[in-house]
Formats: sequence, C-alpha cells, structure tokens
Amino acid sequence: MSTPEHRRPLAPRRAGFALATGAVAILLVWALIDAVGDPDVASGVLVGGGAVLVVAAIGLRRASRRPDRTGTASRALVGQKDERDTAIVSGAFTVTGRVATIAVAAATVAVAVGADPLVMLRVVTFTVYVVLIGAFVVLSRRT
Amino acid sequence: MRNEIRRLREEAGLSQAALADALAVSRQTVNSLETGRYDPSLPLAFTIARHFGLSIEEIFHVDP
Repeated sequence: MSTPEHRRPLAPRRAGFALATGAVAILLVWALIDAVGDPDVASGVLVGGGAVLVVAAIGLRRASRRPDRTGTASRALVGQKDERDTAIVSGAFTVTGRVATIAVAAATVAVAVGADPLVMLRVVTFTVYVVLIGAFVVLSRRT
Repeated sequence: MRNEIRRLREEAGLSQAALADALAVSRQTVNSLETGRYDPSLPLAFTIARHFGLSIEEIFHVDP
C-alpha cells in the first residue's frame, strides 16, 4: 500500500523526449492540414500547439527547480501529481465529459435543423476546453 | 471530516513543506488536509497516522 503516486521528477531526457514528441506531433498535424488546403487552421494548430509546448516546458522547469511552489497544473503536466492533484484532474475531466455529452447532443440537434456543422464542431470544441479549464480552476480552489 | 494534522505538525515543529516531503505529497495537499478541504485516501491516512505514531481514529474524526 503506497500513498505517493508520481512524486519522482521526470528525468531530463524523458522530459525532453516528451516535448520533442509533442513538437513532432504538432508539426505533423500542421503539415497534414496545410496539405489539404486550410492554411489558417494549420497556423492555428501551430500557434496553439506551440503555446501548449511552451507552457509544458515552463511547468517542467518550475516543477524541477521549485517543486513546492508549483501548482496542480504544473505537477500534472510533468507527471509529479499526488493524490489530491489526481482527484482535481479527474474531477475536471468528469465535469468536462458531462458537459461534452450535452454539448454534442445539442450540436447534433442544431446541425439537424440547419446549423453549419463546421461551426458547431468548433463551438463544441471551444466549449469543452473552456469547461475543462474552468472546472480545473474551481476544483483547485475548492479542494 | 475534522483532523488533528495541523496541531500534530506544529507540535512536531514541522513546516507544511517538511511534512509534505515526509508524506510524499505537495505542500498544497497538506494545507488542504489541514483546512479540511480535502479528505485523504485510506493509504494516505495510514501514512499520516504512521508518521505521527498514532492511529487513524486519533487523527481523523467524523463531523457530528
């Protein structure tokens, strides 16, 4: 029976590999979308994905240098979360899943009555991310 | 659920960070435990009890 979950810091080589893998994945998606003729969306993927990578790199650096001063998000991002962090992340995803189910159903109805499917897809995606971040913040403060 | 973690920690002369390190959790988790915002898992409750040399019942109390 052990309490600690993932307090061992990511090894620098492993962290570097994770960041590099993320960068390659983003470039692949960018190239794929750009190749099918949607450069605006491709640029969005590049900027959004790059921002996530930068945040991950900062979180990694903070978590390795000052683990006591990092927040749940940083610890979760770099695989150093304890059981409370895990509870917060799980709770945020639970809320997001419930909202996503309703949002997808609503979007399906909207498309059926004539809404643009691409717009509805973007609305659902945006909603899911906003709810995930909001739920994460609220649970972090309450837990 | 109420608990005696803050009192026990202060009696032991430990900071939240030191206790967190001993329990292998974050300082924020210790703070949340002390303020009652977070109830620990059974394994963590056992770890806390073992750390202070007490039983779980002596540290954690169900609210009346």
